[in-house]
Amino acid sequence: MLVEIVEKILARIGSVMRIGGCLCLLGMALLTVADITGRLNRSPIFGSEEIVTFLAVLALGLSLPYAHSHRSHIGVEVFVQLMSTKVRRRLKLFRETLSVIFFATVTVMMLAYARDKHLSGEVSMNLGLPEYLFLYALGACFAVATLTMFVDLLQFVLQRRNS
Amino acid sequence: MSPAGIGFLGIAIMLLLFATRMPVAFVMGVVGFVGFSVLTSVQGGLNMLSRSMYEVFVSYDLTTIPLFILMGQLAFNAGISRRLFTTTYHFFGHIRGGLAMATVSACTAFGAVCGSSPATAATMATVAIPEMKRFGYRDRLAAGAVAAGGGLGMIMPPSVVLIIYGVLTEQSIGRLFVAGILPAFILTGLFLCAIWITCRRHPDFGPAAEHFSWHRRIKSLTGLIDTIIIFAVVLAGLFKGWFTPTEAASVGAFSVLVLGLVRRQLNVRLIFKSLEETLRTSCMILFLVAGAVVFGKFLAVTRIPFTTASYIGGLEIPALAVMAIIVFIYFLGGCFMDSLAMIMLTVPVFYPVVMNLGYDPIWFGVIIVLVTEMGVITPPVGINVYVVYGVTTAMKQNISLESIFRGIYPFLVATVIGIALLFFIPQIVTFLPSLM
Repeated sequence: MLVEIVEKILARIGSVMRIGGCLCLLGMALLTVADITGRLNRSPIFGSEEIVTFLAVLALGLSLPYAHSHRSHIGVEVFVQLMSTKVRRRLKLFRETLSVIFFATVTVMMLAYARDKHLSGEVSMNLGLPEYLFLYALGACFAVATLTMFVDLLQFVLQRRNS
Repeated sequence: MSPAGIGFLGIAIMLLLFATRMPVAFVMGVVGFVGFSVLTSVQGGLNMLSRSMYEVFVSYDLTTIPLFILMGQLAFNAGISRRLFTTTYHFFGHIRGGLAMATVSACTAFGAVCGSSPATAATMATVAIPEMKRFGYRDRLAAGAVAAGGGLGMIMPPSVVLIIYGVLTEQSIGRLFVAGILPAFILTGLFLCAIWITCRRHPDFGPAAEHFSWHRRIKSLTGLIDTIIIFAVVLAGLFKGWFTPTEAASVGAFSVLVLGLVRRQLNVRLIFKSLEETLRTSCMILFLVAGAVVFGKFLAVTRIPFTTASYIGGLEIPALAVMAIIVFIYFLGGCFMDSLAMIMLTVPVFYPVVMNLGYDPIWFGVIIVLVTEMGVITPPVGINVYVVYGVTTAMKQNISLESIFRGIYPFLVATVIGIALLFFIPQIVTFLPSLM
């Protein structure tokens, strides 16, 4: 029951993040075109490359749960298809557990990296934007993706137990 | 154990993990991180992991990828592919196998606005296969032409695979794009020959369809206008140095968006659909890049790429034979693995070897893209074959997987001839970039 509630909340967060990601992506394209147009009129947008880069960080980070829920990541299917259902289930449990551990590690380290940047007071070269904010945002996106993966894993384990 | 020994152990574990169907990007990340930690320190590995991931996400060069994918998605949803097929159908439809030829030509043209091979195959499958079935084409020729033609999207600029190769090897993406143009046209010509020969040997495979007057054919050329405008803007911008690749991609995506809105073929729903699909694909690709970067750092610490390069360089066999072996490895790998993953995994190892042998990096990029293109249509993975099968099943066209796999053989032979041509006449690849 609790797992289902958490799953619903995560799905809601994921869809809001997806819309945010779409807007960032659209923003990247429009800002670049605006910069080129400005350049033709000798008034380019100062620091547009930096903004586009940070928008890309946000767009990709915000799409992490969406990409996971749509099983977008490529895997080698050929060998698993040759195995029995029992072995396939065990492999699924193994690879999903390993994936959650990997994502959790990246999340923690991303947040630690953000803290390091925060403490060092590092800012972007042209606009002086505090880079750590984007790193914290990316860390938060990874955290949501990790939680989504963990809930999926939990569902799988519970289903196995019930069957 | 020596660093090289740990490296080979890491590679073996990576292959084992691939067999579990764990995402390739995650496997490369996990093995790279663990291996790097073993060879340096756990703290060093942890720091490398977060920094490498962030460096990929924050790379301005890589922002090209989502923007070019967006351009392709918008073009797909704006119905550009259907118009391209209609035009090519007017020109080729009346000859035997003409619809298949029209499909391949439309695939090349669509590849000029869409850098993804499966996307090109999926698009053309929905447009061309019902038409070919209507005129009594054999399943194997119809589906084979779409699956193989879709692969042309990988070499025709803008190509996502070439962008990745450019970023990994620090080569100019603009030059790589320009280098892909002639090979793409040559391969298209070879595919058309393959269809012509097939239909001469088996006239019932592709009966002639409608004949159009020259007046109607010329009128149908309006279907090419969108593609020509977008392709010209993007390529001319890159060729002349007006745009960076990211800017060219933004201009391309914006042009498709405007054209789609003006023609009333795009609405808010379709734009969001394109954006969502772009995000999904880009996330997958950039994760692959991040995984490859982490794995590459591990490999660098093991010194395997450099040792391999110097070992092969010291072998007393001709450079051409070494290249042939490398190409064969790419072909084999491409049969089991996605082309992008294969390139990201192997380029750090083979690139120094090829440079040691004195080959042109741009030429090598185009060659490996062509070779891995064969992988998208060969069993057992053959992603384009599964895409075409999925699309035709969804459309209730009932084409078996076996028919599609049998249908790609003439195109495989054509691709092998194409690769051989580029091998012995490298100027086909290097001529256009030399003008930049």
